[in-house]
Amino acid sequence: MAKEFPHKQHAHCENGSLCNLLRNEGVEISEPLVFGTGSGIFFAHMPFIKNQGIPLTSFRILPGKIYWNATKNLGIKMAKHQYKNPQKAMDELDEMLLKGKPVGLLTNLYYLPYFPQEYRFHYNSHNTIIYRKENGHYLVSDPVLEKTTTISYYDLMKARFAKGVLHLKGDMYYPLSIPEQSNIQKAIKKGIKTTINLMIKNPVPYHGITGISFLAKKIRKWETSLDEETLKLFLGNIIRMQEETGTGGAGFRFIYAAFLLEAAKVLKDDRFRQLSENISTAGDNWRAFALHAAKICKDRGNRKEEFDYMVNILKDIAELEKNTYKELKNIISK
Amino acid sequence: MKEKDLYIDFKPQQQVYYVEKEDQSYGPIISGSYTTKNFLDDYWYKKNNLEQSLRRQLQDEEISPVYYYMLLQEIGPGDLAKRVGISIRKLKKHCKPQYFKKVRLNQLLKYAEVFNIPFVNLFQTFLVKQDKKEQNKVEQIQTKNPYYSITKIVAE
Repeated sequence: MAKEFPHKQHAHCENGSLCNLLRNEGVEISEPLVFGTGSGIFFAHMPFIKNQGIPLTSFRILPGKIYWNATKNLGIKMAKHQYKNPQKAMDELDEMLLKGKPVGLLTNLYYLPYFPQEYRFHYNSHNTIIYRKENGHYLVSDPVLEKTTTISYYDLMKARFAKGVLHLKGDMYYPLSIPEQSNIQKAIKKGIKTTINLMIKNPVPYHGITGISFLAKKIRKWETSLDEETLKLFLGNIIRMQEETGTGGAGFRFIYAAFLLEAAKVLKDDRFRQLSENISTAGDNWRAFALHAAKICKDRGNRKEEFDYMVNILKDIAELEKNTYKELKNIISK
Repeated sequence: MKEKDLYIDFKPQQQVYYVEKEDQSYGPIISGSYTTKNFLDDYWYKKNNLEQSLRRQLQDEEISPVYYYMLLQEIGPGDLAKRVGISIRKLKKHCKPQYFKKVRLNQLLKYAEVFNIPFVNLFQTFLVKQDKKEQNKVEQIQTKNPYYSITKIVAE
C-alpha cells in the first residue's frame, strides 16, 4: 500500500508546499522558519506597476524567492525542471509519481477547479503538490486547503502552462538531498540579514520602510485626487493583499513574529522575544489600518477621521518596523 | 494578536492565521477571515452590479465579449494580450464590437481557453431565475471538438 502523504494546511502556498515536501522526507520544519530563513517579509507599493489600473502593493518578496532563499540557507538541494512541451512535462510528472516521489508544481490558481469559482483569480505562481495518480486523476495536497483533493489530467496541464505575467513552463520541483544536520542558526541569521537589507537598506523609495511611508503620503493624496470608485478599488486591493492572500494575517507580520520567537529559542537569545512582540504590534497596527480602510470602502465612519487615522498609523508602523529591523541588525552583526 | 481577538467563526473561507496563544507561544490557528465575513457582501454587491452593467453594455453592442470577460475575471489588457499571444493594440481592438466581428475563430478559441469558458459562452450567457437557483443547474460539458460543447439543464 502506498504511503499516505503527510498533508497539513498552511497560511501560504510557497512556505506550505516546501514544509509538506520536507515532512514527507521525514524533516519537520515549521512554516515561520521557512518564511524567516527565506526572508519572505517585505513591503512594496509601486504605483507605476498596475493590474487593471490598480497599483501593485506587496507584503512579500518576489514569488519563488522564499523557496529559493530558504532551501539555499538550510542547505537543501532541490531539483527544478521547466519544460517547453506540456506533454513531456506531464509524462515526467507521471514518471516521478510512479517512483513514489511527490513533487511541487507551479500553477495558475484560476485553472484549479478544486477552488471555489468566486475565490479564483489569475495568479501564475500558486504552489501545489501532486503526490499520486489514481484512476487517471492526480491526488493533490494543496497547502492552503484543509484536506487533499484531486484534479484531472487536462485541468492540471492547463494550470501548469498558463501564459501572461510570470508565465509558466510546467515548473516542477522536489527535494534531492537534505543535510542530516542542517545549520539552522546560520540559516536564521542569513535570512534575517537579507530581510534587513530589503527593509531598511533598500535604495528603492517604493520598497521596505520607505515604501510604507510612501504609501502614507499616497493615501493622503488619494483623499482629494481620486474619485469615489477608484479610491475604493485601490484601498480594497491593499486590504486584499494584506489579509486575503495567505499572509497568515497582517501582511505576513504575524508569521514573522512567530519566526522571531523560534529564532529566540534556537539562538538562545531572549532579545528576539522583544523584537517578536514589536513585529506583532506592527501586525496589530496593519490590521487596524485594514479595518479603517474597509470602513471607507463601505461608506462607514467619518471620512476625514478615517484618512487621518490611516496615514498616522502607517507612519507609526514605519517607525516601529524601522526600529525593530535596526535592533535586529545590531544583534545579528555582533 | 491574541487568539481570542482573531478567531472568527466563518466556515465558507477558512485560513491559517498566526496568533499569540494563551501560553504566550505563537502558533497557527484555523479561522475565518474578518474582512471576508464583514465585507464579502459588499464585494458581491459591487461585482454583481459590474456584471449587470457589463451585460447591458454587451446587449447594446457597446463592448465586446472579450472586454466583458476581461473585466469580470480581473485580467489586465497587457496580461491578457500575452496569454492570447497578440499585441495590446490588437487586443484593444478586439474589445470593441465592430472589430470583434472580424476576429478569426481560432483566435476566439484562444480567448475562450484563457477565460476557461466553453467557446459558445463568448456568444451567450446563461441566467437562472434567482428563486430557482437551487433547483436548476446549468452544466456545460466540453467535447473533444473545442468549438462544440453540450449544455444540460439539470433540474433537481
